Amino acid sequence: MTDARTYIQGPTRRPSGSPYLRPMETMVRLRNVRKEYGETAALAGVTLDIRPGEAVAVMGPSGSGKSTLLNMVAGLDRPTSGEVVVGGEEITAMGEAALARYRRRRIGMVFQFFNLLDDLPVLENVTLAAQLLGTPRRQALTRAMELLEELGIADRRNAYPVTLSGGERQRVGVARALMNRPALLLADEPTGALDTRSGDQVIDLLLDLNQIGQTLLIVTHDQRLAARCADRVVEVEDGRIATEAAR
Amino acid sequence: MRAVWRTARFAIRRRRLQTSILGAVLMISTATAVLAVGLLVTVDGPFDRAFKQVAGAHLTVIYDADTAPDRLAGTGTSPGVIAAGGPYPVMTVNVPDGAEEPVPDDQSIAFLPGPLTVVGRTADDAARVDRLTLTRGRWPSAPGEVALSSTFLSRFHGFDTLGKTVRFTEGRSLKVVGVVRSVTASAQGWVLPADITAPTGYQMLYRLTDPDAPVSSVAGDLPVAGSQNYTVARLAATERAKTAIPFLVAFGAAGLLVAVLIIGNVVSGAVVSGFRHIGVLKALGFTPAQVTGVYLVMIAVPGMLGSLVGIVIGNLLAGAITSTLGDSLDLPAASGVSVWVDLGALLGVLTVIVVTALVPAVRAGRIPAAVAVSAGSAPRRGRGLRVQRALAMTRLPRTVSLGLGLPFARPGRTLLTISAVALGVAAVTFAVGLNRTIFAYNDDGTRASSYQLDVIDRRGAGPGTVPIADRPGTAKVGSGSRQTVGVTGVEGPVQMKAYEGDVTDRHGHRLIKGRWLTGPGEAVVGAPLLRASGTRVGDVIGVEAGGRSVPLKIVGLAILESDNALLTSWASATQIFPSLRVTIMEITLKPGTSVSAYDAALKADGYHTEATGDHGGQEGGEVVLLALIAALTLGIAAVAGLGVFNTVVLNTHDRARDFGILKSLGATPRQVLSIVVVSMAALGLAGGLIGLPLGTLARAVVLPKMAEPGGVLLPYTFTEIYPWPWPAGFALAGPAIAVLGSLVPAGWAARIKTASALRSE
Repeated sequence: MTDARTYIQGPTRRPSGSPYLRPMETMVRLRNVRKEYGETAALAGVTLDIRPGEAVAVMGPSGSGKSTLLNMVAGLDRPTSGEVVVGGEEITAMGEAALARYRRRRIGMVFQFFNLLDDLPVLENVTLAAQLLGTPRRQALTRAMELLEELGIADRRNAYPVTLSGGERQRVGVARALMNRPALLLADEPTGALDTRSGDQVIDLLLDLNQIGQTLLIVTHDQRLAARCADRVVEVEDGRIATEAAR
Repeated sequence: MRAVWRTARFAIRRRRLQTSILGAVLMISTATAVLAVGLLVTVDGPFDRAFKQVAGAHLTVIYDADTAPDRLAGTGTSPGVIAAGGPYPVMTVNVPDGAEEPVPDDQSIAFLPGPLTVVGRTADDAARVDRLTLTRGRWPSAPGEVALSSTFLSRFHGFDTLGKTVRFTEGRSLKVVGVVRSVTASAQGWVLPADITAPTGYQMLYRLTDPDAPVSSVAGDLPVAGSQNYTVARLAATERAKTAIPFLVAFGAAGLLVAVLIIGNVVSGAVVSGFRHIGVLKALGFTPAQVTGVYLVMIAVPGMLGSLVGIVIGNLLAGAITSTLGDSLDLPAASGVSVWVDLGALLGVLTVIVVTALVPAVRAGRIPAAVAVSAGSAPRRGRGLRVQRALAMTRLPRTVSLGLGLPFARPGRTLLTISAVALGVAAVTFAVGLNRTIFAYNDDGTRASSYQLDVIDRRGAGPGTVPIADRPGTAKVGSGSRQTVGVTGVEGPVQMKAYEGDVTDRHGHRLIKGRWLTGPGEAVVGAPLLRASGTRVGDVIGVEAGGRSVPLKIVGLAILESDNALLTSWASATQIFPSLRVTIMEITLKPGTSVSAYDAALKADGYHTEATGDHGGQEGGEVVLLALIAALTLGIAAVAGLGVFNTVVLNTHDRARDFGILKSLGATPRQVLSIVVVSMAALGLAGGLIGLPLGTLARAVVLPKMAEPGGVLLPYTFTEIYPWPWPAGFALAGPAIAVLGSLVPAGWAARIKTASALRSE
């Protein structure tokens, strides 16, 4: 496992001040966000701010609206009402193409079930995000190899996802999420499908990232993850923020 | 069983799109198959059916005029006679021949010289033998009126005969008031019996237990002036219709094959995409047999409904086409599709459905519930990985390389789709080629590109009129003479044409074989004459008229306007017709000259003219054939397009998660659309490249077979490989079919809701 110093000295280190965002007080701003599916309100007026460099864990029982909240921030779903601003951009007003560009440039996502493309080997899975952005292939390969080396899976670069362990797959997922140097890393139950040992490795990884200034929004049931990584824990119940506690 | 039925019913409801595609594919496939096979059967056997329907005469006998009518009527009870018609009075009239070629005008019409058999009969719908069908106009109701045979008139295509008068050498003239179809071709015309005051004979028509019985078996010792067995009419009627058979076989086979491929793809795709559903069923306690049953019902019910609608559509189309085909090919009463074709199509489609569904359905029944339930969520072992990796290394845009790699993930589905597109492209290539040949053949027959106007009579032109060669707009005038002659060994009259002036001038005729005329004593002939005379290029034929004859050596084979025709030099023609004079002038106009204005000016000066298209143009049979080509090509292309549509729907269903992942990584809807469209365009291109040689080959093989029964020989240029850029166009038909078929479901893939796609884990 790599340590934070590697990232600080390595190519993933962010230059002082964000190259993507102008200096700001708030990275993510949700104002009275509601999301209704028919008559059911998945989110019932959520208001939340996340500062740059902050790690926020969203916890709550199944069906409480955690993943819906994450989808709103990722631009994967649109709120019924309310405002979602990320990096100073109001994303609720964006069209589909603009949202796609927003996802490429601003955010990286890590999923519970990894969501790797089974037909592509590890290296191609990781470079894909950069290639969609238009990064030249050689440059994308260099960057991907550096990330894989730092995450300790460079030797599996030609393997296909089906041959990897859960922990390895999640590390590939993290490498892919970091490929475009996102200002905000979103993680949906990143340890949910992993055994304890692999889960711990991922927790270490996220912790390291946060320590070098990566803003994190993590949806999790995992108390250990929240306890170790999060600066602040937000409890969601029935689509509302029930409690908010800084660590 | 009830559980199977209920589950299948709900599954059908839930998968409306897939069910609709399945129904639509089977509907179009069945309609195309019914149309193709139905027409095949119809064209092959309409004469016999029509013959039976209108009680055609197996034997037509003309007895001497001095035989007592009651003795003739008595022959109707001879052994072996089922039914008899007559005696009807017969008169033979002659169309004037030769030097003074008759001219059609507003009031009269002229036919090729020779005798015409006219029979005195009244309109009798209940006649026991040879019921005549009035196709145009009306029956004669007064003396001096005649209804002509449609078979006889088909030789004079392009002339409107109704209301016009025919003059005969006997000094008689008859006004044409109707067109009648006789399945037996028992006469060339019919008049009122009272109109034949001095019969040249009496006609008796017989239906026999033994159709091939000799004349003596019915006539006994009565004096017979002539007889005709029904096989003569049968051969004449079916020969032209048979030209369509190789074409229908080719299209029918292509249509059926495309249908089988697409049905296989749709059916197996439906089963494969329902694996998760299968797992749930098994978890609920369904046995493997019940799971198999659910999937068979799910496929068979909409499939059968689609097929039934397809059969109705196929019948309607075939009915419309066969009735037109019957008219244009002069088939007495071509009916629609036989019920056996419908039943065969239904059973065939059902078999294809069951066979294609059974394999994946049985496989579905056997897979463990846990595996089926986790289908889609568990990591899949990738397929076509080497290709995907190789594509990733290329410099192609990532959306393109991802799209190109997509088909390799499901090789079976890809192969079926490529095959369907290939057959679609082959059908298009074949159809366009066929169309092109028919047009080219017509063009060469009429020589419309060589000259634009015929002057077939200049007797009306006064002494002060401007000669044609000096008229503004005239580029070239070919003057010649058209005469009717006899050729040794050939039954019936032959059209001989000779041009004045340079004998080596081809006047726009296309040579198929041999060489052009170089001097007297030579002839260039049409393929039907060669066939009728049993000769070859290089042989000598005897040409005679009015008691004079001349031997002519056949030096070349060309496409000529009429069936039995030959071209020779002016010098050769004058050996038979010493006082030969110009009867036709073929005028080539200067570019930019208005044909109609030039024509009007000629007519105003008293010339009798005819535009090139008037004496040629497409014949009825060809028009129907072109309509058929269009209908069948559209059917096959539509099924191929639907096959692509179905493949994209299945791929989108399979790849929903992958598209969701790509969108979560920042792929725009347009990029997802590009991936899907590129994947299908690649399949389309592959299909196009396979279909192009297939279609070209089919054309090269089928065309000569189509032409052969009609006695038509096609020049090599008509069947040769298409000139550039035609092949490129045909090859692009594949991607065109594929892209058109994929656009709508690709749009769905592009608009896929990322959160839902990822949640469907």
